[in-house]
Amino acid sequence: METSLNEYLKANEPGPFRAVPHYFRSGDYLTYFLSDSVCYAKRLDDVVTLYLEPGTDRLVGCKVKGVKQILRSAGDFGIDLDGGKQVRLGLFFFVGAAPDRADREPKMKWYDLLKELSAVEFDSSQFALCG
Amino acid sequence: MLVPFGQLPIGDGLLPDGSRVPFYIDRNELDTLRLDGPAWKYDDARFLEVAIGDPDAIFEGLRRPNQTASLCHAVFPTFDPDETDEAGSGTPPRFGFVFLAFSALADMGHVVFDWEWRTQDDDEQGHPENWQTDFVRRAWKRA
Repeated sequence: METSLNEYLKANEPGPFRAVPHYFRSGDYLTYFLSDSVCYAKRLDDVVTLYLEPGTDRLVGCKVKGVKQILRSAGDFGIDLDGGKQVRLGLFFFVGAAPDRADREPKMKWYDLLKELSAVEFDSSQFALCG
Repeated sequence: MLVPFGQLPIGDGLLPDGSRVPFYIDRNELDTLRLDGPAWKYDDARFLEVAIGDPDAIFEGLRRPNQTASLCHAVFPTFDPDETDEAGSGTPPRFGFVFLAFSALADMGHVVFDWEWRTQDDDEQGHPENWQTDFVRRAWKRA
């Protein structure tokens, strides 16, 4: 059993890439990557961070922050989440995009790109399984 | 050495007041990243030790729900820990980008819950662009 992060990294090779959303409980966020291309992060708003390919700025993935808080608020306001098992990423993008902010216009191209990921479903049972 | 259940020690990290405390990472979450990728992000965890231990800046408050007291350690790595040869060990792994490690206070230290690369600020070495608006405040800066 490894006793440090460095030992763990040396002892365990990464597996093959899978494009599935993952929830990380320690930071209450989820990530979704379309590919395993190397990328950098660009904070879009309080909820969404984009992962972009250096040089081309092609969308590689996204991070949604404050997942539990958003789902709790949605439930409190009676927003139907289809039983709560599968949640579309579009719900989270909407929360970030909805406020009418002064900096919204320059970001519209990114929100347009995120629409392509809106139908991706996140299995909220990961709340119980992850971390 | 006592280690919190389910955590792996990263090393001692710097806090804004100059003290040092143990930093950890969640083993299950690292397993998830290792199994499904992306592999580069899993591999980039090797930069966490230098980010928390020898940062260029520390920011407090992540401007997201329930993370008002969380920290972000930022560093422009000047070498790659995996490059052991003389030629590669002094080469910054990514020009124009800084490495960020996000952590939250836990029972026995801080837990790093995420890390990423961002474009470097034009004026401040080792700072991400838009650091003035992306974080509540800069809590520490390398002298």
